[in-house]
Amino acid sequence: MPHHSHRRSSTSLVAGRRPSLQHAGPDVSELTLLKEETHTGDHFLTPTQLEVVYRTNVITGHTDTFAREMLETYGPNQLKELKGNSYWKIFRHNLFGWFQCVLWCGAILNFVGYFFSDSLESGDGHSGKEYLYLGCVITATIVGTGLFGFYQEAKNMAVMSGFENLVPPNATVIRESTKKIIPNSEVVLGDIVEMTGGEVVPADVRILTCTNFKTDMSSLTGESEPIKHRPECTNSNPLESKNMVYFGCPITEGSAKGVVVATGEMTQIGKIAGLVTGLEKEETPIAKEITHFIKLICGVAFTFGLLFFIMVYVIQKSWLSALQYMLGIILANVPEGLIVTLTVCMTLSANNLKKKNCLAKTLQAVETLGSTSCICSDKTGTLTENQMNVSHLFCNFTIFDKNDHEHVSNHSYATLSLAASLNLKATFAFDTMNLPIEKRKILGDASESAILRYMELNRSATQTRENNPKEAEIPFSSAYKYQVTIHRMQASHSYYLIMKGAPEIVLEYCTKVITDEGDQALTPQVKKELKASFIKLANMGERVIGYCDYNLPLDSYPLGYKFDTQQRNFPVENLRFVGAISMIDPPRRDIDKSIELCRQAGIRVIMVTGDHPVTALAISRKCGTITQPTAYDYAFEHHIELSDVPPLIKNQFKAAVITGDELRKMSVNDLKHAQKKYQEITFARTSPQQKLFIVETYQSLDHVVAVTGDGVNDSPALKKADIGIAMGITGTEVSKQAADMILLDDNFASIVLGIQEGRRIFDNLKKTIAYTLTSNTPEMLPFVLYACAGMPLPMTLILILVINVGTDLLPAMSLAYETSEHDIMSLPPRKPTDHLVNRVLIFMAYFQVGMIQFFAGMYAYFVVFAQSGFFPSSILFVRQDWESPSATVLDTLGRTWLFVDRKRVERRAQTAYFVAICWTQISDVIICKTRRISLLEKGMRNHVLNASIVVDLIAALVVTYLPLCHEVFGTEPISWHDFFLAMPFFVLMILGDELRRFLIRRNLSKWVERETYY
Amino acid sequence: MAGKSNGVDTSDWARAPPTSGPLWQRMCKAIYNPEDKSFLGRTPKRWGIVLIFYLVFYAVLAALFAGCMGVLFVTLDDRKPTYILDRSLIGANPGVAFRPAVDGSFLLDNTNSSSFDIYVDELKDFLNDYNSDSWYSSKEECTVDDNFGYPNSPCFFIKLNKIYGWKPEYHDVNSLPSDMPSDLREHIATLPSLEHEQIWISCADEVSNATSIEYPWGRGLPGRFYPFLNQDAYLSPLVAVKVTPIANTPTTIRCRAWANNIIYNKSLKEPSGYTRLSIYVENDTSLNSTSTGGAENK
Repeated sequence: MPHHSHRRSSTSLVAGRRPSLQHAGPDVSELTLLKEETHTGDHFLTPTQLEVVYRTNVITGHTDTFAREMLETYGPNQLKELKGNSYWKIFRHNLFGWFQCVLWCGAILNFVGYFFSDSLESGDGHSGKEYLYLGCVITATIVGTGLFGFYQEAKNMAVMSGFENLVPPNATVIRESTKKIIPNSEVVLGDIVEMTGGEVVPADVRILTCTNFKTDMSSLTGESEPIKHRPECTNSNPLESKNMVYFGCPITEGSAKGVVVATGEMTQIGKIAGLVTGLEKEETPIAKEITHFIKLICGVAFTFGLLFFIMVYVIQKSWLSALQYMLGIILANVPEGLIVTLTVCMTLSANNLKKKNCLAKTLQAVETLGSTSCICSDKTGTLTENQMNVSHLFCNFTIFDKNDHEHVSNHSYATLSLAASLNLKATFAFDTMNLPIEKRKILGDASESAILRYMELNRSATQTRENNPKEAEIPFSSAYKYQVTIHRMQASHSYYLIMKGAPEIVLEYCTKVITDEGDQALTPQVKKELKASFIKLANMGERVIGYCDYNLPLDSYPLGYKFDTQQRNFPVENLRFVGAISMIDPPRRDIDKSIELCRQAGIRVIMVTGDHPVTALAISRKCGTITQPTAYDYAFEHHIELSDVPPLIKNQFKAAVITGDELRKMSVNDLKHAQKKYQEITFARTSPQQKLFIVETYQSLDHVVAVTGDGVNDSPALKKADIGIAMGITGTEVSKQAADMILLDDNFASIVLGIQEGRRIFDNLKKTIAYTLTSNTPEMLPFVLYACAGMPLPMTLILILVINVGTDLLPAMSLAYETSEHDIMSLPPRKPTDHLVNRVLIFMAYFQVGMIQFFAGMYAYFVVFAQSGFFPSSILFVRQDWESPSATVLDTLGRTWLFVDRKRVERRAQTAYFVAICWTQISDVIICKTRRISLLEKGMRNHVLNASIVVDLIAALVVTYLPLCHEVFGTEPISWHDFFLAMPFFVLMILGDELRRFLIRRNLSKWVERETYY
Repeated sequence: MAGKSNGVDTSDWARAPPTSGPLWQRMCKAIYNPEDKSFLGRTPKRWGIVLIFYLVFYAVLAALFAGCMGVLFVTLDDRKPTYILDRSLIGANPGVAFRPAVDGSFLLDNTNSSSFDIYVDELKDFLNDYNSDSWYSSKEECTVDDNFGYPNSPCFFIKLNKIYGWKPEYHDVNSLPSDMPSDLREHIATLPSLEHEQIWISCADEVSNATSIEYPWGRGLPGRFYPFLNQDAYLSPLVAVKVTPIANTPTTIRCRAWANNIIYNKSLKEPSGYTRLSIYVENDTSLNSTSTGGAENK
């Protein structure tokens, strides 16, 4: 009994989620309330009683003023949006986050230093102005990056909310005796609404009158067939009663008038949506990674900072300069631009994905998609086209392909075509008649639409139907499972009866079967043969419809004979079997390629569908989600029942179809075991609640699970999944709200593109981080040299900031534009244990590439000093004299240097160091472009990156040669040939990395990969 | 419905739990894991590989660095700076300095020889190089023999910082600058024309004229010492200034060097072309004690 199971499924959602809700915290009494309110009893009431209850009038409707009052009292008729981030929250997060607070401390410290510098003049060489400049630059950094990040996130949020408000639906209501079209959100309790096919039910409505009114309640009950409604109460359960329709359900056909009995949050869907909001959302993997990374970096920065504070304080005994150097170390370690860069990277990728018809609701969702290792996909609409199409015709004991037109003139084939064209209730929508047949809108159910479309394309059905008008009709009923029409035939001027229905059923009414050689008696032998053919078609996952006919003799049924379908004054027995037509919802084009791609990428695709297992298996096979034999195949081959397959053989299969009934009997461990055992699984006949169960079990097996869904009942699974993907076309509003990503074209292939994009993002984020972290080494080590070797400081704090937020920022962002490496989809998905920032990346950045940069910088530094007469030996352990304004320092040539002059030399050396870091950061961005393939192969086709290199160089030139920058950043112009001092290291870095990649690609030694492949 | 369970409501878990065990156990495992015999996450063999890798890596890096530095030293002339005069940051305006070099101020007691012995020792050291020079050995006052005039009337030696390649542009004797002190003008006038090519030094008390200042070695730095080209055994010429200040009064003497290409800036913040020396004489008895202090300036 389908009805029973519907009720169970709809209420079990409430019951099933209850324990977890208790964990999550929402009020349990509220939940009980919701549950009890299911039985409002509106469906029992008569229209007069309803008028009293809702203070309305069935004929004239509300008055405008009363409606307005109601709207104010009960609020708009819309679902509460899932909690989003407010602008203020984003703003606060961007300006006063973890990093930012560290920097604010630094800035405040500098301003304090500036105001007290006169009284604290301690002779350490920091004039008051330097404090001021540094403070200003830090503040500008925080505000600049903060506002930029805020802008990016706000822009992204605007895109999201823009999508949600894309199509505000309207409703037709009767108010003050006139029909009005008002926005759906203004519908109030007691409104008299009119609904017609194609619309969406505006609220929970009790039907007063209706004609042939059908709604698709699948989002609420899971029942995919549209429900035909009646004004009478048919069941004590309002969800089952035919006189109730619910908010958000699409109206497939007919029209109706009714009273609104619940709006907004109080509607059935509103209550379920309310449950969804109560579900806790797990933090996305990338968010976890980034949080982890930020904490780590902040920790490291503070540890080093504190270490330096103590060290400098012990050496110099000045708390102010100790604080300065602590700040320096922290500034060097905290990659100020990183957060902005990451935001930009992900926004870029989200935009990219949008172009590919994936709309990511959160930035992190994009990356999560890349680490997906398991996709639980819907069948209808995602893997298939969601449109029934005729695939085979069966007549004369032969199965013909739909494209096989050689036999059209055969007697049996022609008869079948005629029968199929005539016995149709579906028609083309009048206003779309001018369009090509494929694009015309058809009124009618999916199977009839398919037949009509096929027959119109190949047999000009409309013409046939006009010529042979329908005289009588017994509509399809689930009670007798057939449909009969009687037509007045133009050619023979007689009546012709056609019966259509499930083939096994209609066969029972037949005594003859048509063949090309004439009619043949239907012996049990023939019957068996025919049934075998039907099973063969059904095993291909096709829906089979049988046809039989009867030429009503003219003498018994002369023209003008009154057919009475109630009395059945015509024969429906001893018919002639004509043939059958089978239909299928075909897999989307190239879906098998997409699935193959997933398979290569180590991603399991699990089909979860409400369909019959045989259909599900056939589609799985066509899509490629199941490639190996299953117990079903064994049963078909050996013509035995599935339950008769010996357990020994059953255990050998690597693929399986698990039905909802089997699933119901399984425990968590059973399912886990099955999921481990079978590489390929299709879940058939499942309810949406079981989807949640399946998802949770896969997650417990350490899979990162993506789930696609469209119904309201899918939303718990969408919410629970690591990444929920809702359908943009067929999806309900609730499922879209619960999902992290929306497929605008409902196409599975978009998910695969999304996965590729997600992996690319993860790679690019790694590259970005590797690039950004690298410059920390040459920024930090100068302080070590200064403190330990007593050399003049090679790098100032302000120049560190210039690198971190100036020259590093653009190249880091430009890495987000890097295209994917070609083998990206042949590597297995990232394990949850693979971190974004791992040990190898840190070692690479800090101890390999960073060291090259440090050496390059030191070389430039020594060259500038040596050219001024200070050979390296003469600047060791001179800090005390060097920093003292009254002392003189002798250079190697014996010249005496006064404070002002030697400070200029120092500034020039610092500038040279800075320029060297800029150069080696350029080579760093070049080597970060690719992790595996050769740079020659990859090329320099990322023009954003190329541009950023140019901008980087210009920035370095400006900082070096612009007089204003000399003042603000404390730089000193260097001679043009000193600008290129870092070149040998530039070349070394690129060649060295090329060698590294070569070794990794050739797999010459595994350890190179282990130590240097991040 | 309450009894119906398809597993959904019993599953509080969603993820495999992290590796269990108390913290110390996990830390021990991180340090030494007996399962795969790894120490701090790496087996000894892998540690070896890592060490060799970094050894090779840094060796290559160091070699490149050394090579670059080698090229630098080959191209550098260790006698002549790369940039000279105006292209050099040290500039083409020599600073004026005095010896003994003094940093900070302190008291000097003329009865206590330890308070001025360090200056005498410094001067002995400083002038040691000059001993072989005939120009120096011909001097009679302000030498080791008279203990450089310490403690009663100490000698200071004014010199110019060495600037590679710098040639003084001497003042024309016939058109000496108008701000030149008259005693120096008169002194120059008495000299034979051969000795006109000198950088003149004039010293004066900044406050009063009571301090007696003598120039026992002459009042100019002879031009034959210039230009400085980092010659072997090059010695900067010196002018000795013998100061006899008034006791118990802080005295500041400003000494200025005179040549056309020595820019004079009397500002204390950006001094150029002169040097200041502060002397404080403490006298407990009736005798002078000398305290010197001041900054060495251009």
